[in-house]
Amino acid sequence: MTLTETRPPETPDDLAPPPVERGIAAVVATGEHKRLGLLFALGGLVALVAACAAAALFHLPAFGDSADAFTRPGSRLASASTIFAFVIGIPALWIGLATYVTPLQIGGHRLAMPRLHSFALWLFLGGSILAGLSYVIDDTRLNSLASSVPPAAAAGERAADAVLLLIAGLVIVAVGTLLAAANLLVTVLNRRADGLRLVHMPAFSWSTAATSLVLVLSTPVFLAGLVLLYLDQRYGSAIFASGIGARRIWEHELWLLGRPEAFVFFGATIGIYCDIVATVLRRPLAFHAVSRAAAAATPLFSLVAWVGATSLLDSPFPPFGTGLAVLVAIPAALAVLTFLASVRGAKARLIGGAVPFLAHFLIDGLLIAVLVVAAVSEIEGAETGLYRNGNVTLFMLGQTVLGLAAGYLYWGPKLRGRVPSLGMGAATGGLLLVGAVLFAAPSYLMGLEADNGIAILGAVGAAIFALGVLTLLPLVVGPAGDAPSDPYEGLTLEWSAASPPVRHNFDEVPDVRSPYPLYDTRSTTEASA
Amino acid sequence: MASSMLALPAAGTTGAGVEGRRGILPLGVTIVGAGGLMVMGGLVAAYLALKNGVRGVDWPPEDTSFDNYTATTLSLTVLMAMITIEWAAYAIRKDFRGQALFAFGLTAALAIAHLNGLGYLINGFEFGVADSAYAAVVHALTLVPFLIGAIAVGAVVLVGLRAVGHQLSLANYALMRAAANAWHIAAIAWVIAYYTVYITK
Repeated sequence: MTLTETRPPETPDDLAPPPVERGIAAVVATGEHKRLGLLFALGGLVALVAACAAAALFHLPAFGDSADAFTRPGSRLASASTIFAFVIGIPALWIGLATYVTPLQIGGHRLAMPRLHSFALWLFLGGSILAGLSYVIDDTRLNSLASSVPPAAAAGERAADAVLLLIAGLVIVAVGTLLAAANLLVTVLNRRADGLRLVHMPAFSWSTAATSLVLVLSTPVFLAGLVLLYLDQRYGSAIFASGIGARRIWEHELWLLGRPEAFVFFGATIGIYCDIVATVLRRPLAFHAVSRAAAAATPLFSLVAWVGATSLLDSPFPPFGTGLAVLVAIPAALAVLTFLASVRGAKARLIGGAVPFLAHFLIDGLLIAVLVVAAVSEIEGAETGLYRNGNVTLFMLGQTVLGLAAGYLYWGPKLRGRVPSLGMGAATGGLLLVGAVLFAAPSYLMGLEADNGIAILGAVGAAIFALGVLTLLPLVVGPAGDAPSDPYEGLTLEWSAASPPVRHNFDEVPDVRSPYPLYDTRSTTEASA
Repeated sequence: MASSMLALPAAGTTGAGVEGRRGILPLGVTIVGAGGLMVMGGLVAAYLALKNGVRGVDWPPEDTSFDNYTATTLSLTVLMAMITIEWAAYAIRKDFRGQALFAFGLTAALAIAHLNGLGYLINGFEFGVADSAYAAVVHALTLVPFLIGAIAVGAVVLVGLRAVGHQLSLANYALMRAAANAWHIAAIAWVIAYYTVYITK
């Protein structure tokens, strides 16, 4: 054995995980990234529907806690909807898409550590079930993580079993998230096809790397907060009832708006949009290096959430914790500018995945309007938690799920071999848009001192939003079709694989030397013809 | 479409490639380990927030005694094990089997001694988890390095057994590197806890 010895070249058979084709073993023991991605996606869809169901219920007058459901400590339904949407549903939906698509985009045969990803999946599922059970067995008296008020535990008192079960479930989910994110990051760094430099990766892969990095850095801090919360609730250590320091622990380690996980998935959607717009316009984006940098920077900027809610950095826009939170919008705006710069002379063709992208812009307009109202109005209600909850629903839930839905529709041919129609895109985008707006409306209006009776709108909105989420189900669990490998004349590498791809993705390891390899190949062929 | 070369060639470009793929395990361990260190970061932040935020209460509480002797010995132990695991890695690279086995034995002994000592230290705390916020955070700050250390010891012992069974060489050096990285991360986690609880208090 010498230092100069090199390993023989890897073949697809070496690289692919051992074949496990059918039966329960195919699901439980699978290491195949496509199957793992679909399982994560399925879990995410179920969790989001559960979150919408809980949200719809707490908006109903019969449950009697609609007026302050978001912020009232101990509101079981509010806590369930928050946790199932933001801690379980949206992360699982993103992990599912990234797990499925990223190895294809970078010309890889598999994930870097398939078994670790499988382990992460089952941790995620087990933790989610524990968290769900905690809401069933007892009236959990843990504050919603959307509440900036820390839970008060009397010294020496032990919390209910349901609370401890919920915390244990969240710890397991957080570990699963951390392992999956670490694996995706290693995959991007280490499983790229020969010749595919980091700077040439497609925008979605860039956003996957950045989002994974943020999750690797921020999820453990959430985990540390959960450990302290467990000690506090289990042994009555009074950590969260002992002064301003304890308040900071809650705000920066556990509270939804005080940590980056809440914002990072919005950033991930920028990468999805960059790839969709390039395909719709059938050409590389103008200043495409800028768009890829924006796709990476938007998730990274979510780290500024950690300075949120500090009194020294108050935002001029009351619903945001600090002015720094607005920083996230800068790379996103840069990406949009590259979209606009690319439109001229392009032969655009609308596809199903582009419709939620357009709906996203309508929500952007609405968000700007409510921010302006909040900034210029003299109404005290605009500064309340309820008004802010409108932003949470519209921005963090509505926009993020729209972005992820766009990704599922766009890569639909790769998922189950079926090309989503324009009508399907319109149905998904329309339901999610209308659902999100109605869902958020009661929070805004009650924040502006409207009557509590308006809360019923939120129940309707949550139900419509759930329908929008369910429209994605056929893309994840539907029967496999035989779509063409490249139905959109795509630009990036995943469109060179079959739809759905074979087990090892590519028959030959591609050697890529460009950010838009298929576009370049097509252009070269046309030029020579 | 499947071809061996897609699109335009560019000079001097390489992707991860086969050579890069060799480092998957060490890279994965390092990234997951960074997550473990961020857990420590979160706990240290909580410790400092409580320390600065609790007015009118002694921090640490009065009559808290510190077993500085054991804690300092533990720190020296992990540092020594960091050196011996690197010695083992060097010996594997150079194919010095005798040295590799000796270094692995030393590392495993030091690492297990560290875990044992840390367990003794935690058992010896004169305060219970429920006594105060300080007590709860200190327990968390010492238990997390114990857990990370236990995982790292498992990795070191497994890789050491492979060395004993002639299944560790330059060909699968990534295993060696991954185990070494895991131990370094466990050591850093303990040093962070030691500095926070026993040095700065």
